[in-house]
Amino acid sequence: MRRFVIFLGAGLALLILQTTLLAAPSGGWWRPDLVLVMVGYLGLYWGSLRGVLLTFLLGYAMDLLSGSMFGLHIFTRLVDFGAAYLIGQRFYRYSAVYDLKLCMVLALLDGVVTALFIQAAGAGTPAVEVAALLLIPQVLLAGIFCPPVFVLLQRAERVLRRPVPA
Amino acid sequence: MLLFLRRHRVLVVTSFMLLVALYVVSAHWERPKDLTFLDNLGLYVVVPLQLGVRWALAQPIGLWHNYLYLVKVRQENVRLRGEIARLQGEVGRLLEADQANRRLRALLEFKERAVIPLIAAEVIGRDPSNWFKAVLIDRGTEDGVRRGMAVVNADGAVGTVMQASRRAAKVLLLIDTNSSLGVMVQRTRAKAILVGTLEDRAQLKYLRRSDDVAVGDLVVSSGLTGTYPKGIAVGRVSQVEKKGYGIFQYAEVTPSVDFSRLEEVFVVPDGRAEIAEAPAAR
Repeated sequence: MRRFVIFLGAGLALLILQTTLLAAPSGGWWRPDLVLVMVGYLGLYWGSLRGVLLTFLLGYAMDLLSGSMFGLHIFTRLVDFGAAYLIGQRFYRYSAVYDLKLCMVLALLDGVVTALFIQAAGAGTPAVEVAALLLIPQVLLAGIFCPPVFVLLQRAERVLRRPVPA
Repeated sequence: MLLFLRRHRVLVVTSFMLLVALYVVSAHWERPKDLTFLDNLGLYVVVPLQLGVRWALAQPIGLWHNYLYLVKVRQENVRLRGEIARLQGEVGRLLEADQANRRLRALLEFKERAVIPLIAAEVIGRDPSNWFKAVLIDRGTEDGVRRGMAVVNADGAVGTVMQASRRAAKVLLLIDTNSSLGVMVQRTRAKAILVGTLEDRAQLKYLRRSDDVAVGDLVVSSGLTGTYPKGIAVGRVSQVEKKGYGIFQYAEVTPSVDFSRLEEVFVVPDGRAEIAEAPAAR
């Protein structure tokens, strides 16, 4: 339970960073999706019902702050979680490069699902433009920020596993 | 069967949750609903944290400038380092105050042009996703902010209040793909609907082919929806394209507002308010 609450707090902290500090340098719109990276971590290293619940809550928190159709981020984050879980089950390799590639794949998947929803909602922007404007930067930023976030979360896990002194 | 469910419980639960999410999306597809108790609770937790981060971010800016100046001065003249750093710090502080003063004066002038009172608000956070364009402001239902109200600043139209909790509200910006606003070309009064694109621009939909529109024309809100005051500057036409067929023409609009530098905004409680045009239109 302690681990769950602390990771929920960490997820919210990443979300707030994403909407404030990290939104500033690019003038607001191109920022790394740290929550996506964390969801990738959860799918890969937690792979439990708590991971599903945590992903749901993080998606819900994103929906609260986003201008998207409500529920879209819950959906995309769960898709990311499921994909990370399945990839982790079948092709798991413990290396930073593997983690980086996984995050990039998840960012691509997340972007494609979001673009499909946007298209379905009636916004007709050409696919090439979408890829150039949003998808490629999102994938690259996910790759760049994946290793540090994973290391941070792994360290947090190690600290949490230490026995609490009586 | 039970064994299968147990073995694949993570995927089964994830799939179930995905269905729940799809249901939620479909329920909110047409237009955003009011915030529920849970939504309010969520924002109640997140908004103070965002305010805290925003405050914390504002503090180091002055220190950062001062430090840079200090390093530069040290290289130039060690003896005068302390004095120059102090003076540079003072200059930096005054410049910052001057900029804030100019910005606030512009806002004040804009507020005075409005016939009815406006609700001043500060932007405290941006959309967490790169795909959508929304901001969170520090005014909510407690301050009189309601869903559907127009949001403007000294440069022109900013967006519409999408949802409001007690102390914060989510504003959908004009450049979001989900946004639409009734507008008209000021010169010719040609009417159209302004919709956002994935870039920081917007386009005019349903602009008749016969309408006279040229690059550089000012686009203002038409006031037909009742929620948005008439005559608010929206942007300038940056591209016009008439294809060989069809009854409409395509026009692209560069917004008057620089959405990447949005800091202070006004919520318009009454869409029938009159706000004088002129300086707001760039």
